[in-house]
Amino acid sequence: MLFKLDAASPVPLGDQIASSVRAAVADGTVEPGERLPAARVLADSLGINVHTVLRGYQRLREEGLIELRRGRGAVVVDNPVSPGRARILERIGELVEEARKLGMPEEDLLALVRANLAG
Amino acid sequence: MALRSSIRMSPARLRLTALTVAPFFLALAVYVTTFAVLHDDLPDPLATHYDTSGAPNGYVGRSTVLFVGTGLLFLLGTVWTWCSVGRAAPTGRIGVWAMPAGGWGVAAFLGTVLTSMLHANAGPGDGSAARFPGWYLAVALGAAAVAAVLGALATRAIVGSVPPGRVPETPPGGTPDRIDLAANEVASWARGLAPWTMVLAGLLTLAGGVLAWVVTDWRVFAPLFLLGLAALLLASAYVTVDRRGLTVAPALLPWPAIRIPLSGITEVSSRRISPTTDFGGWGYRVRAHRTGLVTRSGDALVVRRRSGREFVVTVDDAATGAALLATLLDRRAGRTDRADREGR
Repeated sequence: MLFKLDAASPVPLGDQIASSVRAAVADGTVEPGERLPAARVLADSLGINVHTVLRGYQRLREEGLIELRRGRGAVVVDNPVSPGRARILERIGELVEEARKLGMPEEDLLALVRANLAG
Repeated sequence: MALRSSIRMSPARLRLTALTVAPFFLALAVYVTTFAVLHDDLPDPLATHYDTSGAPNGYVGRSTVLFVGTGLLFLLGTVWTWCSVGRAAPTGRIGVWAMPAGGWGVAAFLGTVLTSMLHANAGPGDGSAARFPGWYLAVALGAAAVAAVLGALATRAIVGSVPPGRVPETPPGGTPDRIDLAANEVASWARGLAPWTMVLAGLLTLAGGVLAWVVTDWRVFAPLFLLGLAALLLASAYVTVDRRGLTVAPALLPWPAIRIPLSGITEVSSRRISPTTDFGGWGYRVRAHRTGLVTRSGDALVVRRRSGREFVVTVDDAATGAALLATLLDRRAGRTDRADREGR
């Protein structure tokens, strides 16, 4: 899959790795059950530290988008809802960014989301 | 800790591992039990090598036979299981059950051959009385076929169906698209090289080498074993496209690798290739005007080198790889890329 990094961006490189994967899963370029490149291969290729890549992969694991297994590498969770989950995660990212720009307190944002869920 | 929980195996994978190990374990158990039961009837040394008529012409010490037999089954079982559930494991619909099924077949074949060799030796007198006619091998092949079918059925029953993999197809020929890449962006495209069929082929070659050792000679074993190892190494390889150019290298080792720098590439495309018509076979193929690393038919990334020769590597989603490579070549040539035009 394709990874793009912008060294000048304020977004940490690990998060940029994570968003590359999210986008690829969301648009179907990478399928549920597919293996991501080994962290070391990707780190060499992008000229960054292997721990930076692992930080990105770890974040995706916490988001429930990939599984990390010793000896097996990173695999996109083999579930048909994975692409949908990736799209939701992308929107949540946008939502949080927008709220931060407006200086909206966390509680207000969560209250709005809850109100929407209840409605 | 979060990291620790990520290392444990899922129940499905655990079942798959158990299923792959099982036939090798069973073959091992039958072999060792047979050895123990027949022990007092076995000559020392045992006849282990036979001519075409089935009469022995090679002998090995009794305890060595036990060690080599158990060692081979153990080694092959370990490698096979690692390949079935490890990093290079297949994720496709067929591969998931074909790998364990192949293991069942190989374990049954080896187990039958090893065990029947013990039976052939049992009896009064020394090993020269042993006979190992050709039909023993036919029986072992039959056992292998039955076991492979059983293994396939068992895997399907236990693992269930796996959603089919979709491989993006490249339209034939044509210039590749470009990737949106801003001037300050670094990009990389990386993709595993080999299909699971290659892992299976590598394992079968290994098994063939082991069998050749048992039945004939280590001089047959060595080249087959090396060939099998090479196939497995290749199966772990990645194709990467980045600022350095095009690289094909194993994931864990820096060598053997093919590295073509951007400066060495004049043209790039992706197209569908056929191993037989385009290269006369599979593997690392050197032809009159092109070199290819060909593991299957279908999508391939194609670059023209400064020397005019083509380098072809079969890889899924080659169109994206070609698009990035073309973008990087544009950038290197100082041509305005799309990101610049849009930025203006």
